[in-house]
Amino acid sequence: MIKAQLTRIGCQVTTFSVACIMASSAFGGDASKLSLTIYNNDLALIQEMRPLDLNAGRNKLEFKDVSASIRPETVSLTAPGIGIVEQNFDFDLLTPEKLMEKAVGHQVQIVRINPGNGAQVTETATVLSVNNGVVLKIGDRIEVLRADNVPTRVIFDKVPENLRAHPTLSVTVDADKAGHRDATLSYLSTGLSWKADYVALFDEKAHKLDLQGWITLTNTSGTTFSNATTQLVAGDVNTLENPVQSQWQPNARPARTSSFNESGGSTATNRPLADFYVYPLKETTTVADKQTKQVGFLDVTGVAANKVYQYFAAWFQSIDPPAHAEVVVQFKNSVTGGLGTQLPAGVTRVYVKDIDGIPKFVGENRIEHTPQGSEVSVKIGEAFDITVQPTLIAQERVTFFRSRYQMEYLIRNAKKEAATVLIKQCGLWRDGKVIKESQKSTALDARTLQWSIAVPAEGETKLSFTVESGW
Amino acid sequence: MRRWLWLLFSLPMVGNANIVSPKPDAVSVTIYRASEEGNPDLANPETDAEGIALISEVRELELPAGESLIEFVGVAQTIVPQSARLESLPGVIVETNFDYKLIGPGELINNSIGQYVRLVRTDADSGKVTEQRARLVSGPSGVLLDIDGKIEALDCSGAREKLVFDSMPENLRAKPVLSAKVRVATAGKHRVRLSYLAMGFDWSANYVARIQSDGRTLDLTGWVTLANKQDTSFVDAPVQVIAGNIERDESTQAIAVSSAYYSNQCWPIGQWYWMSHSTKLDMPLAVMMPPPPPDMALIERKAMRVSDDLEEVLMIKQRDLGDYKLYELPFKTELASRQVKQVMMTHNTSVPFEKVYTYTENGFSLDSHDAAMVIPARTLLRMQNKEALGLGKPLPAGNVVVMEADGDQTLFSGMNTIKDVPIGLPVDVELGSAFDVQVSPRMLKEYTRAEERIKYHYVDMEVALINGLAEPVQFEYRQEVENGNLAIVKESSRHIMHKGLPTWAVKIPPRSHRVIKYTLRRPE
Repeated sequence: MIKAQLTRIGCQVTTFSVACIMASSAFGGDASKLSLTIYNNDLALIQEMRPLDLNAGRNKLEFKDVSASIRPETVSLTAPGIGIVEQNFDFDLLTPEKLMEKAVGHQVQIVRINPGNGAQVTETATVLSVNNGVVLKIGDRIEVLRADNVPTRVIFDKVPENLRAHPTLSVTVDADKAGHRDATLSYLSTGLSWKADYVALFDEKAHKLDLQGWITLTNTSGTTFSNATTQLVAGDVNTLENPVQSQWQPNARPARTSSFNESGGSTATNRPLADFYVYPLKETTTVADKQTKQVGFLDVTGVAANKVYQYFAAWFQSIDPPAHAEVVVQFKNSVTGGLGTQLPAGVTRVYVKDIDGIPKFVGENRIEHTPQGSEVSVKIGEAFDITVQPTLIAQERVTFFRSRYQMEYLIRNAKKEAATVLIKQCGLWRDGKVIKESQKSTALDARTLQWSIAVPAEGETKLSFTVESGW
Repeated sequence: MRRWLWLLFSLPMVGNANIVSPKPDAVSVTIYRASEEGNPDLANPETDAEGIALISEVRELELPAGESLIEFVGVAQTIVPQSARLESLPGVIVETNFDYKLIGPGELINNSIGQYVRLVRTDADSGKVTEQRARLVSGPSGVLLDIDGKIEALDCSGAREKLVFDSMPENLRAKPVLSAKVRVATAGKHRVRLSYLAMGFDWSANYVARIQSDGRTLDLTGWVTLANKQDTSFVDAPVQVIAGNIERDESTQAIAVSSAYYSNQCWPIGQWYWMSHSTKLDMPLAVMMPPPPPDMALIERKAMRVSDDLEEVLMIKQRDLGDYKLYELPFKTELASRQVKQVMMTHNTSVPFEKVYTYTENGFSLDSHDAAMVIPARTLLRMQNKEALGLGKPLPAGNVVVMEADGDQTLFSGMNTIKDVPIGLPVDVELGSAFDVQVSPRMLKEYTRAEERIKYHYVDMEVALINGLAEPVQFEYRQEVENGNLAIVKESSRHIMHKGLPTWAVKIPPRSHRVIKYTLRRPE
C-alpha cells in the first residue's frame, strides 16, 4: 500500500512517465543474485540480479536498497531489450526543516493544543516563509508558528518529490515490450574493503613455521549484503583518489597445484585476472553493516623458516645508548620451502610457543603482495640481549669531494648461546670502497656493505672498518 | 525436541547465535608495553595505556554435529578483531565475525525507517495518553512520521511525544559481539582456546635506588607497574608482562564503535523578536556530556614488604620468550578494569655504584659562552649490570628514583629513566645538576687555514674542570663532533671514544681543578 502511494507521488512530476516502478529488492533473496567483488583499497563492485516487470516504453525504476555508500556515477543497469534514458541519484534528504521549506506557498493543517484543558483546535494555514521562524497565514491573520509557546502540531499532506530518507538511485529505461525480465545492476561502492592477516607460529629450534592466512573483510558502507557470492581482488587497483600505476605485477603465474591443506572456508583456487589475483570465497556469506569478518584462505604447516639478527645503519654515526639488534623471521614463498602461493598484502602476526605450549605473540609486521618465489622477511622486534653500539671514530676529508669514515661496531650478546648478527652499513656513494676492515664484508648493493658477525655467548665482538666515499 | 532444535541450528541464521559461550573458563593476560620510553605516568587514571595485551582464553563448548554459530561473550571491548584466533577445535572454522552495530536511539530509528511504530502523546495538563500507529518516514536527524497518510514531525510541536518500538531491528546489539561459524563432525564438549590482542593495557618497570650510608653502595628494588585501562576485568588470571621492543602495525587497533545520533532537528521555532543568529551563538551549540570519570585507579601493591629475607617476598619470575624477557606474576590475580597493579620484580642489596660528573660541549656553539662562564656538571650514577657487582639481571626500561639516607631522613636525590639494560652493560642514571663540580670551557683562538686545497676552520679550546668537594671526583668531559664533521687535531691529554663521543675521563683531587686543552677542526 505504501509502495503504491509513493509510486503515485513519483508519477505526478515525471513529465515523460508512462509507468513508475519500484524495482523489487534482490537483497536477502536467492544467494546467486548478489555478488560482491571487494578490492583492497576501500572499494567494491556490487552486482545483483533484479527481476523487473516493465511496461512497454518508458519506466522509472527506483532502487532504494543499494549500498548507502554507492558511487552513483558507476551505476550500470543491463537487461534484454531495454535502453537507459537517464539515471538519477537523489540525495536531498528529508528532514522536518526541508519539508517545511518545500511547503512554502502550500497549505498545512495546524493543531493548537490548549495548555489549560488540552483542547485541540485545528486550522488550515498557508506557509508564507521559513526564515528564522515559520510565518503562517491563517484565514486573514498572519502569525509566527509557536510564537506564544503554545504546543502546535503541523500536519503535512505529503512528502514532496525528490526528498528521501536515504539517498536514492533511480533509472529511467525504455523497454521494447512489456513483461518480466532479469536485469543486472552493477555499481561501485566505498565502505567495503579487505586485507589479509597472517598468523605465523614460529618454531625457532625446528626452523619451521606454520602459516595461516585469513581474509579480513570490513563493511562500514551502511548496508548489509546478505548471502552474497564474494570474491576478493589482490593488487592495487587505480582509483581516482589513488591515481598510481599498479605496482604489483606478479612475476610468476600461480601454480594450480597448490600443495597446502585448505581450511574449511578457504578458497579453492586463486585465479589471475589481469595483473591482479582473485580469491573467490567458497561459500556465500552475509556481510553485515558494521562487521569485520574473517575467512581462512591458507593453512600450511612446516614452512622452512629461520631467524636472523640484524642491524641496519643508514649512515656513519655514533649511537648511544646502544641499539638492540632487530629480530627478523625469514621464509621463502616457494613450493620447495613448503609454501608456494601468492600471498596478498597484509599484517603477519608471529607467535612462538611459551614453556607451557601456549602460543605467545612476539610481534607483527606488514608484508607486501608477495608472488610465488619471493623471500618474505618479517621484522618482529628487537632482541633484548643483543646490542649494537656504533661509534664513528673519525671522519676525514680526503679531497674536497671525498671523505674517509672510520667506524667501530661493538656487538654484545648477553644470551647463553652464541649469535650471528648481520651488520648492514649503508652510506657509500660514488666510488665507495673499503680501505680496511677487521673481517670481510660483502656488498649488498652499490651503497650497502654487510658483515656477518659471530658473537660468542655472554660475550662481545668488535667490528672495525674504514671506508672511503665520494659525494 | 532435540531433533527439532537441531533443525533450528542447521538453518542459516543471520545475527542469531545459536550457541552462547557466556564467559571464559580460564584466561591469561600477557601485556606488551607501548615503548621502551616507558610511561612514568601510568598510574594516573587520566593517561592512556597505549600498549597491547594478548588475551588467551579457554572455553568449554557444547557443540552439535554440523554447523553452529558461537557467540563469545565476555571478550575485552578493546579487542582487535582480526587478531582473534580459535584453536583446538576439532572441525572447521567457516568464518569469524565481529559485529558492532549497537543499539542506540539513532540506530533504532535509522534501522526502522519504513517500519511502523507507535507515537505516544501525553497531555501535559491532564496526563491523558493517546497512541497512534505511525510509519517512520525519515530520521534520525529530525524524524518524520506518516500518520494515516499525513506527515508530521516528531518533537517539533512543543507537546510531549515519544516513539514506541514493537521490536528491535535485526543486527542491532547491546555490545560488540565476536562470533564464529564452525562445523564439527561429532557433537560433544570441546575445549577450545580463543586468543586475541586487545588495546588499553601497558606496563613499565619502576626502580627505587636507596643509597646506603656508606655512600658507595645502594639497594635497588624494581617493580612492575601494569595497567588495565579498559572496561573488562579478568578473574583468577595468570598475568605476564613482556620486556623488549616488539614491532607493531598501526592497523592493529580496536574498532572505534560509532553509532548514529538522534537529534530533534526541526524547522525554526519562530520568535517575534530579533534574536535568531546572535542568540544561537550565545547558546551552547550542543550539550556536550563529558565522558564519565573513570573509577579511581586502584593501586594495588602486593608483596610490598622489602625484607632481607627474600624468600618471604613474592617476587615476579622471569624467563625468556623468544628474544624478549617475560615476567610472570607469582600468583593468579584479578586484573580488574581500570586498575593499576604493582608487583616486585627485583631486589638487590649492596650494589656498588660510581658517581660520575659529566659535561658535553656542543660543537662550535661557543659564541654564547662568557669567557668566565662556569657551568655546573651533571651528576650521573653508574652501576654495572653484572652479578659480581650486585646485579646481573636483565633490567627492563623504566623510571629510576634515587633516594639517599641522611641520618634518619630519606632524601629524594633525583629521578630519570633507563632503557632496557641486558646483563653486562652499564646502568647510567643521570640525576641532575651538581652543585660543587663545575666546568668552564673557553675558546682561546679561532682561525682558518688551507691544507691540500681544503680550507679548515680551527678553534683552540681550554677547559677547566673544577671540583669544590672535599673528596676526589671522577669527571667525563665530552666534545660533540657534529656527526664526525669536527675532528680533534691536537690535545693536551689523550681522549677515548665513549658513548660515541671523544671523552676525557679525568680524576680531580679534592678542592682542585684540572685543565684540558685541545684543538677542533672543521672543513669549511
